[in-house]
Amino acid sequence: MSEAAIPLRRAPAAARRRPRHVALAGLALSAPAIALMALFLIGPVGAVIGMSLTDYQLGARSWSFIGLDNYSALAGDAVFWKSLGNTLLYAAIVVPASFALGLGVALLIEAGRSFRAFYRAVFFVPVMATLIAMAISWEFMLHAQFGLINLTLISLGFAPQAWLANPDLALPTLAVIGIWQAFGFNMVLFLAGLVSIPRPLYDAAAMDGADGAFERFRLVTWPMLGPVSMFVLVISAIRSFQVFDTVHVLTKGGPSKATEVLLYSMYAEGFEFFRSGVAAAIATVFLVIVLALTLLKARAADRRVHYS
Amino acid sequence: MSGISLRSIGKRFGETPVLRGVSLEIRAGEFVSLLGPSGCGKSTLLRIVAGLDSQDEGEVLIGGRDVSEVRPSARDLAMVFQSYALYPHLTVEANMMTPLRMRDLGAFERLPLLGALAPGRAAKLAAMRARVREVAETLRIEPLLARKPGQLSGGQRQRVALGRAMVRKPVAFLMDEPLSNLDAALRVHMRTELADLHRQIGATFLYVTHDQVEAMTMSSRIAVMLEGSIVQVGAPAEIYDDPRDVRVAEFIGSPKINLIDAVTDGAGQPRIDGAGRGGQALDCAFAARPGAALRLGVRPEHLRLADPALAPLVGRLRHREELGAETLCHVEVQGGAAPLVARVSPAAARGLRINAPVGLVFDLSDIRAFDAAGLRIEAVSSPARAAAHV
Repeated sequence: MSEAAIPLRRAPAAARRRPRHVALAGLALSAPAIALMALFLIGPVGAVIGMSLTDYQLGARSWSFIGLDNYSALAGDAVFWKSLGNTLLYAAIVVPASFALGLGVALLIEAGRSFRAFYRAVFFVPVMATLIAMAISWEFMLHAQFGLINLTLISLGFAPQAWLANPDLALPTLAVIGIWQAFGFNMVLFLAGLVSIPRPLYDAAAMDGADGAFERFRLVTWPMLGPVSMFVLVISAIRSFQVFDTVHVLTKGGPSKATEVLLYSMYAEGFEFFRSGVAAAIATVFLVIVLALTLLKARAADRRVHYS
Repeated sequence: MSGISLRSIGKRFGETPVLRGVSLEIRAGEFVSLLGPSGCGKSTLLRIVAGLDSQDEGEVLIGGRDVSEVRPSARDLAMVFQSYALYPHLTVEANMMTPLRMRDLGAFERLPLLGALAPGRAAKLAAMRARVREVAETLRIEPLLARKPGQLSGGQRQRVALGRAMVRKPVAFLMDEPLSNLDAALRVHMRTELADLHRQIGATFLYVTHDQVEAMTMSSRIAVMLEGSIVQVGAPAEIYDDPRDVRVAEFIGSPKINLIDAVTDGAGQPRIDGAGRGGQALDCAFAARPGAALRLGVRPEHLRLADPALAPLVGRLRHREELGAETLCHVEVQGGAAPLVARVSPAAARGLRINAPVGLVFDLSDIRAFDAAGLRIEAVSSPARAAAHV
């Protein structure tokens, strides 16, 4: 995203030096792309923001402009705050865990010699699998009475748990599924990052005395993975804010709103209660969060993790 | 400061041998270059000395101690890499301090926040900074200490890499083609600087390069490596004047040494096939069987232009390269595989047109003869230099 912004900023200075017909040709050539972007990317966002300022209901014949009323209603809605809090909590569990697991597994695979391709494939399977289908398998496994997990716990002498029915356990359980699904993706990104670290740096570290695994990691691996880590962090955060499939299949926001998350609230408002305006307002809040994360990556963080 | 001994080092990658029983003695304070074409195993040998790779056979001794089982940092060597291998996230000062931090600070003292609690750490850090500053002064890179490698030019990075190697006062410096990423002018300059540095600190240098000029200009001795073996070790002048192997003769010197095929007669005197003066034997003898095929090596600067009627070698001028101070004449000799190159003064080559007949003469004492296997054959007799006019 930041890469795309650079030519735009430089364009005015360059345009002054160009003859008019070149500028026109440039405009004509980029017009289809601009039109498509407006139609499919910028347009829908604008439509959602516009809709969030109305009292439109799905299927209604008339609607009126109500300003920021939807937002003030959200601000006073305990369920919305619960949903936002749950989303943040979910991200707070999934992001660090899938980051650490992804990095750890990538380091282990890279350090070993044998079965690399096998490990890579195995850990990547949950990423490729359809999450809805996988959520149903998880539902079987988590079943309070006949689920594999509880049966295993019982056979080992532990008490079975109502994983999805207990309000204290439901969100962490979903988070574990989220981690299971996400860390393979992070692993692949970290693997790519590890491969691109110049070997001579490790040689230099060995000559300088950083020959233990921890010192080598601190002096070379971790700093050199900076850009990848930043990307993984932001992508994991955005993806965990988007949690929906597992909630929809396994808990539908329950028990007693314990797993109500932003996208699920939006879905419920829009397609169960048909309050499209409110749903659009939630979508806008969601967009703002994602945009903030992206800007954070593009602005502040990029400068600190790239060294040239 | 210590010497390094390599004793029959062998290394293979899979089935391919890369080092075949390499032995080399490097005396303390010497500047030894490992010179050879790419793929000859010189970098592998250097990495084995450093401890970054392990040998399959043989042993490495540093200061008389077998270090084959010692990890790289404990060998107390410093290495300068072709790519410099500076830590891009650290400032120049932090880069140069890294070897000192690793050696002088304990694991606890190196921890990011807790380490500050360790007693005596501040004093140690101050001593390290002083040492870094001292080395930076020697290398004239003090103004760069606060910068990061990404903000430095190639030459500056080179100096920082040298500085990082110097701070620890290692027993020996290992350098893996350290100048090959610099532009030509800077390379010439850094050659002088490195040689100066070696004189100044007097440490042992083991320098890997494929560039004969670097090896010739800086080294006390050169070890020429070809196909995984050291073919000849000697002072630069010795390697140039007295090559023991035709491959060494060919590898050293630019333009390449001229090789002329000849056959010995009954008296051991070489006769050049199909050349001028009716194939008369040269008035010198080599320790070879009668009828043996010889290759006579003559450096371009030892060939002179002469009247075709009197010269032992006759041909046509194919090409002329004017280099200002000298002119290279490429002369195609009948029956010769490649044109012979004569390095002559511009005055001598003036007026010669392309395709003009040219005679070449040389001093018999400048001939280096090699047998069919490429090994040097000593001259049994050759006239004194002044008389040797062919």
